[in-house]
Amino acid sequence: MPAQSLLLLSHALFCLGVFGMLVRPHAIGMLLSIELMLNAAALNFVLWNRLFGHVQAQAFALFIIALAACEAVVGLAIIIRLSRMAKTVFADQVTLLKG
Amino acid sequence: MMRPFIIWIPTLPLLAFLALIFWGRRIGRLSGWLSAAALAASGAVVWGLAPAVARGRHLAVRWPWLSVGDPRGVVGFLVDGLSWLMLVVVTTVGTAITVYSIGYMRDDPRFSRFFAYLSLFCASMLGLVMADHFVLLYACWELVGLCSYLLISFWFEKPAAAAAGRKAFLTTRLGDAGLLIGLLLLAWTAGDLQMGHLAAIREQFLLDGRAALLTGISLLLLCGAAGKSAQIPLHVWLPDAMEGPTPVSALIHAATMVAAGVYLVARTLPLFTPQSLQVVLAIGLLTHLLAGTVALTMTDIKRILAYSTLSQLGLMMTALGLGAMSAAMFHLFTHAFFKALLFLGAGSVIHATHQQELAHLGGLRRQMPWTALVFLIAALSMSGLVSLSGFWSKDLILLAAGQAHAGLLVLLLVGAAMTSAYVFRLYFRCFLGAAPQPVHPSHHAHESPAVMVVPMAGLAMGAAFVGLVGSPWLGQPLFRLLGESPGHEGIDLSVVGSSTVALAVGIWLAWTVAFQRRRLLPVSLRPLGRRLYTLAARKYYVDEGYDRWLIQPFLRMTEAWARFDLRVIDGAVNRAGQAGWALSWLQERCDRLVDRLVNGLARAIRGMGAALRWIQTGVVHQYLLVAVVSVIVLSVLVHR
Amino acid sequence: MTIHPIAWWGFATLILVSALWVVTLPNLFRAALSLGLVLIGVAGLFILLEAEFLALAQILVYVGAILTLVVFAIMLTAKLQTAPVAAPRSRVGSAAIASAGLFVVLASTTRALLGPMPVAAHAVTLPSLGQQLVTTLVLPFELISLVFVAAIVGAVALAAPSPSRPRTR
Repeated sequence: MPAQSLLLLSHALFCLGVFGMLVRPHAIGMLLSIELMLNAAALNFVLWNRLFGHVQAQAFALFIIALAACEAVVGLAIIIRLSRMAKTVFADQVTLLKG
Repeated sequence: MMRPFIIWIPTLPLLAFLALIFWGRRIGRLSGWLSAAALAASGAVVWGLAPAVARGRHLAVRWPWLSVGDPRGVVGFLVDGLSWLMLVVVTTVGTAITVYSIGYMRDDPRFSRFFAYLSLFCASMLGLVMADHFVLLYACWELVGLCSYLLISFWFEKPAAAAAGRKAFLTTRLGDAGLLIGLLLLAWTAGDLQMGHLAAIREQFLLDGRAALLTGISLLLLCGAAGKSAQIPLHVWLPDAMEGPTPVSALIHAATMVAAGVYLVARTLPLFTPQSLQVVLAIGLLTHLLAGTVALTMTDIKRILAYSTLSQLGLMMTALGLGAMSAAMFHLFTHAFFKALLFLGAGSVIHATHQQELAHLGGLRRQMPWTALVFLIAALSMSGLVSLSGFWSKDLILLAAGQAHAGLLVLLLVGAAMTSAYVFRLYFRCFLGAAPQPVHPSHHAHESPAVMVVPMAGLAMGAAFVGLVGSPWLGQPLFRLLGESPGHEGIDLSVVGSSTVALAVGIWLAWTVAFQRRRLLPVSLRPLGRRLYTLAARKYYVDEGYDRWLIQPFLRMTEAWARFDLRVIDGAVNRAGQAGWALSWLQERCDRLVDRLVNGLARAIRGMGAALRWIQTGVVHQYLLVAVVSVIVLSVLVHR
Repeated sequence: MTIHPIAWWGFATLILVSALWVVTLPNLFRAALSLGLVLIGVAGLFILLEAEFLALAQILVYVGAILTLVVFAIMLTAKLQTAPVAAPRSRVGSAAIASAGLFVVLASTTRALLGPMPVAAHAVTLPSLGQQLVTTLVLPFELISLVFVAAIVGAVALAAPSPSRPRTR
């Protein structure tokens, strides 16, 4: 089993996350894509740990999970606030930064 | 010797002038008396100098004027015999006329200004005759001309008076130009303009063989004299000057200013060569005779007297041309008295009757006895009745003429006959005979007030007796005064006799013309006579000639110059203005272009901004896409 | 210890397909559930990679808490979503190209690792992980707790209704 194929999986997952970020109009959809990307990063960390024995990698993967939780919380709070203000959840309809 | 107080002689009337100019209105009636008093005071000073002058002393006051390399540029006043004589004339006759004017100008609204001008005139005339340096003389000369202008056109509401003043000024100006050139020439060649050095200059020039230069200078000076003394051809202003008030005519145009020319020639006689003296003689003679003929035909009192003045001045010039300076000055002296008196008498008549034409006058002897009397005395004096002043002076001139050439004497006798003819014609028509038809109320005329009659009486005394200072009965003190020796002793009876005959002929002629109404000429000569008469009556068409040959061409030339000025110069100026306008228009266009450029630049930048603004869509996905692409690009670059 | 290729590929397939569903399903709820599948798949991989604690943590935190939270949020904002909206075609195209590019870049970075999978010296045990957390990585550990606090405070501040607005009855 080539090592690169393991890494390619995390790469692919990350890129799918990016794709989702760029495509999804719904704000929560974008959040889901962000979770994908975070997961890909964590997977990458664990792979590194498994391949090269760096023990901090697993710890970092743990950190990633914790941070993902915070980020999801804050992000959802923002989305809810935004939905109240702009009366919409679609990020491509909110163009306050236009100009 | 230095006598500084002679400076008061011209200064007193000058102060009177200044006072009258500023405060004349307030003084009112007193203006005339102030003017007369100033002049009388000057006269007192003059008479006070009599003893010194009689002893042959020259009184002077000098002060340095311009020392531009010329240490002899000293200006001053000099009272010698010649100038003293003139001073007496101006102050004495002037005072009389000033007092007379107080009555004559009584109703005039510009009363005080008249006397201001009169005082200024007297001051400048006094300065003129006392001047020691040609520059001072010229200054006073011009000032006198100015006063003449102001006084002739005193009643400037009358267009004729204004025109007459202008004519006088311009004509004398022409003469003055010659005078100026002559003075400049003298200054340039001789380097000296002191009047006392003229004899020395003459000697020097003759020694250097520059006699022609002397002739030229003297002829140029003669121009100025001819202008002021109204000799032919510059005589045209004097008859017109009669538009001024009669006292003005009396003082300025009979007694004093016109005598200034004679005085000038007398003063500068050393500069006259025999050739220039011949010119003087010719001009004088021509003026004397021609003016006499015109006087015979005139119908206006003052015109007759004006031409009479011309004629007498011609006589004086003739005397000067003969070299008889004392005779000429003597005649000037006596002429001042009787001519002024004649004018004042005429003024009296005009004042009483408001008429000037002989046709409307007559028989005034009954109503104005005093005027008639003094007029008669003056007429007799002028005609040369034995023992009156005019006789003595004219006799001297006749003597000098007879010594020079017999034909000259004959001509002068003819002139004498004409003189008595026209003056008595005037006397007869005006004072004797019947009153004219009462169309004009001249029979309401009355004698003039005392303020006018008394001066006339004074002048009459002078006209009668003043000639005695030049007569042999008193030893001819005048000649010693003028520094000359009398040319002869005793009386030449042939000359006396012939002049008396001429006088009688003239009176008979006047009587005939005035009262007999008899035809004088035989039938065959009548057309010629009529033509000659018309020629004289039209004053020989001199004025018309001047107008046609001088004035009109000159005016046309000035019009041409005016057109040139308007079209070319004004046109150039306008073009310059237009060019400036066009330049500013061009600048505005450039400015607009610059504006457009600047605006365009701003718009371009704004457009660029607007063009680039679409990047900022505000859509998050866009930004993210750009971020991702940038990451890709950067990592590719880093990989390289 | 090597990884069985079948297990690996099975999990990999699950992950990739579910991830594809996450980013493409129009129905957001179903996308969220697909995310759950992805998370479970990743947890499975963690177990294969001998990181059991992480797998447990993944399932507990991610699936149990985060996913639940996301589903809650979806429910809360459901009324604002009138109909499932799809992204415009142009965006999809450029997004695909961009992510593909990114994949290529990432892949080329790790090309050196074409060799066979090396064997780890020894597996990471839980005690060693714990020891790492409180010695070497104590700072990030504590900071994460700060981040938690900040996140909670921030979330409450953001999501709470604004009190200053006057109520109009």
